[in-house]
Amino acid sequence: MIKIAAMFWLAAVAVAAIGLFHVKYEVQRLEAELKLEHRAILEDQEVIHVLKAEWSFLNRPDRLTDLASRHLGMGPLAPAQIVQIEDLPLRQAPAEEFPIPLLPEPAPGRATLVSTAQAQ
Amino acid sequence: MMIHATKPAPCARPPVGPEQPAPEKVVRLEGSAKQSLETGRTRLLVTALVFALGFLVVGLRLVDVTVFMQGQEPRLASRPATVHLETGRADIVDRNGVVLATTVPTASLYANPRHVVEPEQVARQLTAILPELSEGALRRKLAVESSFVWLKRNLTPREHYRINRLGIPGLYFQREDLRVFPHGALTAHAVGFTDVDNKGLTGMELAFDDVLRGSTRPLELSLDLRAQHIMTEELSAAMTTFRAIGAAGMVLDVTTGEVIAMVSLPTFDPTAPAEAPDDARFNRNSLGVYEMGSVFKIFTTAMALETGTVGLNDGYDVSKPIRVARFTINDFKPKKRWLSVPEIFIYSSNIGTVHMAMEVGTAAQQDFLGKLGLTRTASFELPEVGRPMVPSPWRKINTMTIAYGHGLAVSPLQLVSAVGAVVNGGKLLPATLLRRVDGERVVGQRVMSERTSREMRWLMRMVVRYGTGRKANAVGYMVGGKTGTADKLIGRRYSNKARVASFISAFPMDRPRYVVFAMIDEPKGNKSTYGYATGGWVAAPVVRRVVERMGPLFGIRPRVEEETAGLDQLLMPASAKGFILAAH
Repeated sequence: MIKIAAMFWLAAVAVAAIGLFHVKYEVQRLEAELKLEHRAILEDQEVIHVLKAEWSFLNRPDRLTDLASRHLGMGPLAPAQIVQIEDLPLRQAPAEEFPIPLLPEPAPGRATLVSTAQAQ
Repeated sequence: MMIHATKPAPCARPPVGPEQPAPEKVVRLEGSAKQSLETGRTRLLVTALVFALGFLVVGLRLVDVTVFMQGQEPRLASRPATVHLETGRADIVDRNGVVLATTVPTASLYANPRHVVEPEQVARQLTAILPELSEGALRRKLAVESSFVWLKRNLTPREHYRINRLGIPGLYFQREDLRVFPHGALTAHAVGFTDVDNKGLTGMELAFDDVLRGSTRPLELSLDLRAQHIMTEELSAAMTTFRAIGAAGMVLDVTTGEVIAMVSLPTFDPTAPAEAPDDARFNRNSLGVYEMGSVFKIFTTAMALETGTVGLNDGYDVSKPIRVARFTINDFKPKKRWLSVPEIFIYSSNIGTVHMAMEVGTAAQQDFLGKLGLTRTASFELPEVGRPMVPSPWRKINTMTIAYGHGLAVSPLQLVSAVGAVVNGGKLLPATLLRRVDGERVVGQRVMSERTSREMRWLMRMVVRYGTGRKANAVGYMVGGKTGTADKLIGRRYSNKARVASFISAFPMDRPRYVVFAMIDEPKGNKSTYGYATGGWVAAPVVRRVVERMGPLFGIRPRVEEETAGLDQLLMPASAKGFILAAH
């Protein structure tokens, strides 16, 4: 009886010891991993920081002005180009019937927006 | 714990006969032997009880600690602190969060020549990556008998990578922090610059040096980079057109006192301030003081209206120049007749304005200009703040000349805040270069009545509509303003060639939001201006273009139709009803 109890306790001690060491090494490993992650985060933050500076540098207003005028054909907004939504003309004729009648086929040769723009 | 009663005590040996069949082992104790056995038994019992109690306590405590106390127990493995990048100096950003100054880590290249095996080859490889270094100089550096020599400070990330990839033994990198200004010269005067140890030397870098060192939160300026850019572009265009030596421009939010743009030209590269001439590093807006010329008529007229000396329907005869001591005060374009107060303002008549100032008196003028903050040094965040040049003693002649802006030199910063007070309803707000928190209520000091402010808004609008400031009329934005042309003081006398042309304006005049100021230093007239280099010809167009470009960006709706349909009529104060401009 005593022998069985002793064996049981011995086994329990052994399991506990193995478990403890296992946990300890696991924690050490995780801590090392955490340290690496922290370093990676810091490196990323540093890169982001530098990129922010570069982003600000690339957004220099004179550079943007130049790019917008060269590639998009944009320029400063004139007061006449700004229209309020309430200044827009109302719909010409209210739709009386439903469903809406189909639009008529465009007449051949009629100027579309595209061709007008090209003609200018 | 068992005590076998059968175990005989040595002193009590019972008479046991072997031949007797199974007689029960009966212990019989007598006398003192029994006594001592009982004592031993009792002691054992007490000890057992004590032990049992002890184990019980330990057991209970164990249950207590493991089951009930878990929540309160501190965890041994504390949560690791979140990592933050420490750059050693906080960023400076504009009101929209655009980075104006930041600190980036860089690598600097140094060598230990003792460990460099083949200096010739290393020098060749390095010059391929760093073409700005000379191969000969590098070779000499690498051949020196020492263990440390700088090769290049602050490499770009690309250079760093490429040199690192060469894998040359004996070359090392030193990590350093470098202050960079992505927008460089555009905000150089406001932001300032730092020395090699990242210590602030001028501008906000100096004013907030301690704050910037001790925090990672960016410092938010009130500047708007877009307005800053617009102002810079328009001013430098005007400088080129009129071959001026310098220019200054400001935009101020009159509802909060925030400086939205502050441009001083010529400007400089904050990363190489030593190479810039002193003139470029000089902040004309806060440090420079100038005699502003006719823009001061705003204050004289406001003073006369505020004190009730004149009303909008009064006027003066301006046909004769004013002679005082050895001076003669005349008009730039004499009208030779009686002019009403609005006409005096609109046509910028010196004579009429002097009459007004004299009627108000010297003491009241000193008091009024003092209340507007024009006679004392402005309180401003920047360390570079100029002291106004105030005449002492303030004689009658000074009252006369100050009425039209000569004899009292103030900084554009002071002028802009004072005009802000004139148009915003009469409250002087402290100008600031720091962004105010949204919804922050700014306490201003009342310097004039709402009524005077309204009358002045109308007068300033009329200047742009009919008077000297017509070139500032950005249609739809209800610009109002006043031109100024001041002769510069060269030595001890006024020059008739060197002058400062300026224009101060506010828009939209029915509910002013921004004051826009432009000043061109020593412009020369050209063909397109018929030789004129006055505020109306030189500075007013700058203001018009700045307003036209700023308006859409700052959410101010242009009202082209309303304005042509007579929005100005609504501005007209009741006191001026029935007033007709003689020239129209």
